[in-house]
Amino acid sequence: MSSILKSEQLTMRFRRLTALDHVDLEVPEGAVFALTGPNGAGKTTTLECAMNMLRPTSGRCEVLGKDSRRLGPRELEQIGFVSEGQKLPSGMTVARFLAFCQPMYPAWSDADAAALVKQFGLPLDRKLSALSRGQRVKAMLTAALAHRPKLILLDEPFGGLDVLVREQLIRSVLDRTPEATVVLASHDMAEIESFATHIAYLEEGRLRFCEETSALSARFREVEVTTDGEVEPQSWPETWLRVQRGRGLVRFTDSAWMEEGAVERIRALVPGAQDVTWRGLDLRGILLAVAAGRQDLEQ
Amino acid sequence: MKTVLAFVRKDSRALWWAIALCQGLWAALVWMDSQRRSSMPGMAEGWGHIVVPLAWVILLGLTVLEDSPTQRRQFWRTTPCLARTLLAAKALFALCWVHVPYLIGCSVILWARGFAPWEYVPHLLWKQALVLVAVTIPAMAAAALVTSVAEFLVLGLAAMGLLPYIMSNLVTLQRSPFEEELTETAVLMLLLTLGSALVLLLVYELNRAQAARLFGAATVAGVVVAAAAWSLADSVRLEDLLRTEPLPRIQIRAPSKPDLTSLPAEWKSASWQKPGRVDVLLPAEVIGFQQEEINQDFDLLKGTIVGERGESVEVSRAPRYTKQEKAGAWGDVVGLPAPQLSFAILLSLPESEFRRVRLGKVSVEGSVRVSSNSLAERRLMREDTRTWIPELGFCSVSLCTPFRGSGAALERSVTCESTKPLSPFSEVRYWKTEPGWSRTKHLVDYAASLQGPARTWLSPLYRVESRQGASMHAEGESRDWTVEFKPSIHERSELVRFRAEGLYLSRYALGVPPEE
Repeated sequence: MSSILKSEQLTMRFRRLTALDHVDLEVPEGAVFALTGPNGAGKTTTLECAMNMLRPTSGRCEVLGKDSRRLGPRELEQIGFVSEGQKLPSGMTVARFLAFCQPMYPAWSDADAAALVKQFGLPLDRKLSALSRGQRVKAMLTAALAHRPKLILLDEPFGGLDVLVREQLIRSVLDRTPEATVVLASHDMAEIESFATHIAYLEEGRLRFCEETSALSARFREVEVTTDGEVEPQSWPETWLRVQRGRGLVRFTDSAWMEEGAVERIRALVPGAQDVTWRGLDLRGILLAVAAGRQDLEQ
Repeated sequence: MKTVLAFVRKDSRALWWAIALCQGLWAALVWMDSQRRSSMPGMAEGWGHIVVPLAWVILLGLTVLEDSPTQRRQFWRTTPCLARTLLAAKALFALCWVHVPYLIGCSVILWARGFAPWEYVPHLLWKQALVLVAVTIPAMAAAALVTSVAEFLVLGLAAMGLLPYIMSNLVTLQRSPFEEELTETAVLMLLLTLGSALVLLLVYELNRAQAARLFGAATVAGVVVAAAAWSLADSVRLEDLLRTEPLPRIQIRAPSKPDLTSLPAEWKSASWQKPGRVDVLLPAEVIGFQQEEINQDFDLLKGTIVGERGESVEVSRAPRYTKQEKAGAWGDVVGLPAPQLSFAILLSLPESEFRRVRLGKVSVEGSVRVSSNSLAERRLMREDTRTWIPELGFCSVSLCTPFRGSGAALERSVTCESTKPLSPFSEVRYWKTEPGWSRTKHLVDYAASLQGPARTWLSPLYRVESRQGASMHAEGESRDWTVEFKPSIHERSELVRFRAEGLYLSRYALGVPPEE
């Protein structure tokens, strides 16, 4: 599968702050790609580099097969971008805003725009500045989807919205553009979990992982080992994250889980191991474990 | 084009109030200019020439900031609109709401004053270029460098300090008869405009906001430094560099021992009376023109005085530009009236210098613009009347006769508004036709021409005010004068570089002690 967005050694520095540090990212065509990480991890910066809103300090970003610094109207016509911090022409009414966008996109569909307006219940005669936060996002989404983009970039668009609205918006994005590739930057796991096919995790500007969601779920397990006594601190395998020790118990998250021979391997590594149990992790659990890293937690 | 129009429509709707304000101000100014009876603008109109360009600057700043090119989270950046398309949209906005109304307004003024606007298309285009250079491009460049309206206004307030300088330069650019002055202003304006254009290029085409800010600051600093350091000599050098034709063969003949007796006594005595001043008298003759048709504008470049014992005085180490009727830091050149057809140079020296060097030779280098003119038809006017004169437009005359009796002073001023810069009037005669009034000839001009006030630079008309004073014998009192004057319209104008030597006489040499 070819990639629709790709970054190579993408680095962005703002004076002393390194917002992105040699990030290699690849978004396959047709994927619903979640770009996640804590606040300040570099998610927005990555998307802004991709949209040529920022010029990378080094490295490059390729969007729709073209260097992001050379994105032209032909490429931008195929991209829908919605961002939390986007500065809209707030003096316009929703109707004028959509009419303003219409001539810029050859593939613009008035029917789609009307359907989205109806679906979102947007007040056409109200100014953008007078809309609620949710309505503003809906207006932006309408403008971003009505031209049937090939690539949709969403930068924390649903932050602060209630669950119902969020679900409605996400569904509409996915339903209206089944062929499109969606890149969603968010730190909200609940937002991502239900639909992301791929996930990338950024932390302090560095990419911790980037893979398919199913593969990610398959390699993460939370393991609990009962022991016959207190286990002394020791150097655990690098793949064990968030190790917790207590009286007669060791709990950790294995980031390279292989079920075959797992019990024997664990018994060999944990002195006095008795029972070994494990369970799968949801996305939130996986990301928490990744964020915590290899720190040894006293219970 | 669709995108460009979409942005123009958007901006026009968003900024309708600012557009309305600008159009209202400009319309008011046009109305005042076209309906005024007097040829001199009133205070409201004068302020209009400052407020309207400022309003335009703010309007252009607001439209650029509607879609700021340096704010990365602007909506336009996520649309298929290239930065250069956006710039085209902003330029079209400026054309629609600044330049076209300005063109219409200027045409209305011309029409109201009896000129057919279509006959002055090049002149109107020149005015458009002036606004483009002085308002549109710098305002758009400044707005492109900032990220908010507040920043833009702060920048504007800082620039207000330069306003008087900019305004005076604009006036110079459109109506100064002195080529060197024009050269200096043109060079500075060109620097500013080129810098602004490059800033727009850096921001809109190359997406280099930080570099553009640095470049913008460097441009302003460069213009300020150039303005401070530019001298007349630089203008002359530049002109010589660009000149393709050789200088005309006109000579300045300066006798080494001038006949001072030929100088008008009134003028001589008046010049001696200026405190703290040493006069160098250097009557020189310009030859090669018919005497009756000559007008001279002088520039001084350099002056040296060498005394009897070889003591030397550089009149100025950094010669300052002076010109006729404008006192400089160290000297004046004063054209003398017919029949002398010569000029005299007045130099100011520090007290210590003129005590040291009392008598010697003075050598002066400079340039003189010599013009011949044809005389327009004579017109009769009455005091305080406003009369239409072909090629000159409306002219008004006022006479001032404050004193009675023998030796009373008389001042006359003629003000005209025209579509072309005017040179001073060549001759004015005035008389009282009632019995007992017989003085018809003025004795001397003490001022020839004043350019119009700086604040009227937006007007398509040039304004020239000619004031003349005379000592005459007058008896009785009446304000009902009849005036006849001949405007001089230059047909031939040539620049001559001159180097002249003459006799230097300080008051000490003549036994007249300097005033304490």
